[in-house]
Amino acid sequence: MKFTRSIGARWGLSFLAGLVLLSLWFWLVDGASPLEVLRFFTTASSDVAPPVPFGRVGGVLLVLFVLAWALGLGIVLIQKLLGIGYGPMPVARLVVREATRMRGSVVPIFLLLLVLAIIPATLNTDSPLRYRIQSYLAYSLNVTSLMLGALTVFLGCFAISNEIQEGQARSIFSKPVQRFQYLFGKVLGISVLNALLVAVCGLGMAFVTTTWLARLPALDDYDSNAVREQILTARQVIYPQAPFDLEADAQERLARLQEDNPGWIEERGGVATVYRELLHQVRTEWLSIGPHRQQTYIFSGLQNARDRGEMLQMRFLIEMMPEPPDRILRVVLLANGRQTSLATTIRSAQVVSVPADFIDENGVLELTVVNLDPSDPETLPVASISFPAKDGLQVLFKVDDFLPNLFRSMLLIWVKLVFLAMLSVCAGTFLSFPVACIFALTIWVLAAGSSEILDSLHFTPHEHSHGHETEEQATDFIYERIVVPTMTLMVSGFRKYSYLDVSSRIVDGRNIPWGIVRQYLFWIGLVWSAAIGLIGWLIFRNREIARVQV
Amino acid sequence: MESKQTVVEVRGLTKVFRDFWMRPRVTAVQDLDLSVRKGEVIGLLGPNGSGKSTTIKMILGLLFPTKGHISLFGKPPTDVALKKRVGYLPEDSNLFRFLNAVETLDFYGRLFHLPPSERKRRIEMLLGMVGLEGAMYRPIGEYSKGMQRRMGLAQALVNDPDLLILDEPTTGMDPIATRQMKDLIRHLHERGKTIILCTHLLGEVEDVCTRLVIMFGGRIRAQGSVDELLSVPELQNIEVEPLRPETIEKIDALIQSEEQKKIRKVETPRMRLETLFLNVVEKAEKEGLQTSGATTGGRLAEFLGESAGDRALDLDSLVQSLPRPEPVAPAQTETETPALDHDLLRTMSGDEPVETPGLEEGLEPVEPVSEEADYDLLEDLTGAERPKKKPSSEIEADPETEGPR
Repeated sequence: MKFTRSIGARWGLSFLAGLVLLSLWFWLVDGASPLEVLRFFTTASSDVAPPVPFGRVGGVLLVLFVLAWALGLGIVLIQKLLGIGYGPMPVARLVVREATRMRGSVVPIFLLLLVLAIIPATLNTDSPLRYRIQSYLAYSLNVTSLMLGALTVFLGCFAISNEIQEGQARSIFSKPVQRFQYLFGKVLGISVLNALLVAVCGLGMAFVTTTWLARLPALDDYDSNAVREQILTARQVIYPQAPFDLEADAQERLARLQEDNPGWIEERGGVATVYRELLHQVRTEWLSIGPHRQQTYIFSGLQNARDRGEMLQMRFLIEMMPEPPDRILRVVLLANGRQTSLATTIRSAQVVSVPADFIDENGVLELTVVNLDPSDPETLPVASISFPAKDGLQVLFKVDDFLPNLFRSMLLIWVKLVFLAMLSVCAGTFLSFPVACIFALTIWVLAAGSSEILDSLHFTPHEHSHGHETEEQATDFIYERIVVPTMTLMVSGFRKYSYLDVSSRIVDGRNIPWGIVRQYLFWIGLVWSAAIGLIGWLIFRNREIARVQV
Repeated sequence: MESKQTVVEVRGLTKVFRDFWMRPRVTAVQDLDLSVRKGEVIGLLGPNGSGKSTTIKMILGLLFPTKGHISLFGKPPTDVALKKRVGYLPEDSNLFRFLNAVETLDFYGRLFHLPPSERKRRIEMLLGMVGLEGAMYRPIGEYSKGMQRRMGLAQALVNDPDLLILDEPTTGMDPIATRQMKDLIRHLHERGKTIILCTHLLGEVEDVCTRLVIMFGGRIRAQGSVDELLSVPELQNIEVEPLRPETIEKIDALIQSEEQKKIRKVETPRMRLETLFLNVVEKAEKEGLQTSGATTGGRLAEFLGESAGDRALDLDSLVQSLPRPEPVAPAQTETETPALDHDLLRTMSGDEPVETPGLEEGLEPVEPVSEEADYDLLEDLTGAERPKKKPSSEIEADPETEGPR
């Protein structure tokens, strides 16, 4: 009890001391009196809130203070939490103590907090506020994922391999400790620490975004609205549904090809490859509109948006070949028959707000795009337009707020770290520290980049140059018959790991539904981790702990 | 203290270390048979690489035998539950450098599922016992090697083990701690604990072990009680107050006429360096000088025995106990008293048989030397020459068999 009081007093005093020092800084350097600062932080609504009372350096110091204090308090709390119970709990607490006292992990943690605090001060103040906030969120989410992932690999591989190497494992396993308890304790400790670090980073991002950046002056109303409606929000995305079965169409084309020219299919890399290419072709054709032609895209499932009554956002990313001389694209949009026109710069995403009452009573919005210039309808446009298949055409509407969405994104990052912790700890059961690190990092890179790797594998162009046909054929054979299947086998199992790009979702203000979080928790956090843990345990239980000089 | 109950049973134990390709590389232990009974203090001796550490680690389940059978308290060493009865001090302490002493003992105590109040009680007692109370909140990474050994000992005792396995326990310890370690082993032995002491420092074991097992090349080369292995029956010591030279001459003449033998050596014994050292430290402590390291330690932790609370490990008792002699061949002086000069002999030995304080410490009288003693091996281990029956004028007394110093 005395100990608890002393810890509580220590943290209480450090908090007060930090507040006093920060207040002095704001007062003496930024010219903001303590009362102004207090009013700033106690004003919840940004509409009536006073301007940010501190400068860049003051802001960095404030964020650092908040993060460091939260981290310190969290470390004390999780140690208390892990101090309850036996079995794997003492091992888990040992991991936390090791990680928070060892220079090898304390320095990266401090650097992470420092980077999160410094990023907002490095953003270009001349750029629109929406871009600054998006940049901050993108940087901070990516840095958090990257540094915590690397730290997890380091701690996980170090946890067991080092204790076997240095001999502490001998003392531990001369005590009544089951090997699975030890293994689980290590993963538990790293995961609890990661939960704390993810929470602190999330807190930092929320604090910086909503309390600092969002309260800086925007360039104009559009900028201000974009921050509110497109970034600091959680929107559901609806993609258009094709009026016909794209896959059936692709199958039909494939069947025709198999009949007419089966040799060509083999040359292209086999049936599966050609089918993927055909499917892509069918989808691209559907999303392309020729000059003076029109195409209707149906968005369904918008009943919720209609009920909410808030503005919809239609997001376009249009490509045009060849590009018009002024790089301005002009098309006509008809949303459920109501006309609006669009003039936009090509190759950059544009958003058009549409009132919710455009949606019909069935929750369907039919969007007709006419490829002609509404100001000069008689002139024939020079080229076709197309929407990229992945994210060229979307309807978005708000379903939740920014902070809960950020929370879910941090939860997803943590779930991935749980898997990474299990992988690293298990690698340390049978490999030395450096080899275990290389092994775990390789798996991590493959998993994190699995979507991109698979895409690049399947869409590599098969261009043959003339003159070296034998060499080219040999290379193609090795690539198509060995490299692609091997890499596909290695990577496709991890596709789920990188299926959802957390960072882009938050940056674009897109909702991360709880359903996805639950899926990640079940598959990656539970099934994958349990499978790896089982393999690790089977190896570890048959491993000799001691090393003897003979 | 010993009973017939077997604590450790090893039969035909063999350990072959293999290389990466699973080719046999070294046979560390070969066809080893060993029984340790409850209450025994076994000294496992051998030079580096003799297989003693490998044997210990197989007994603890840290290494798996290539062949053979091990039972610990009647169960295989892989049975985790029986580890509750075992304490182990590894050869390198192997402590966590980032923890302090309290956190370390708390961690190990929790592995034994000790409830918080009991953990707290034991931690306080153990830290007092090993003399680390003043450094309990310092990270162990800042400890000296001797302090780390003390800490290692404390962690080995946190569960009040029935079987204590000490691997090179006094490495890096100062003479005080070494002496305390020996006393601790004696006290634990008196409480009926079974102890396996693994070392290559021979001086450590002869004071405390009830049985010695000497290993070489992965095999047991000799085993028996300390006295069986170390006694030199060819020689005898007689201890008296200082004599005048003419008296010594008379005695020599007497021995020559009666036994046709000569006195080999007459010398004044010296105080042991250990005694001197402990006296100096005791004096310094009484003068109130401070040290940043370990102190001399305190009472034996109460939880280590119901009646052990009165067993003090303090310096006073250590110093008092030091001048006591090594066990010597005792009663033969009485039985072999020559008939010719009784007065002279009475001057040498008194009316009573020669006092053998070692007996008070629980050491048993010397038995006739066992034929198991392998003197060739002892020569290898110690570098000392084997006692030979040389012409009397060339032979000097073995200092190890001399009486009180």
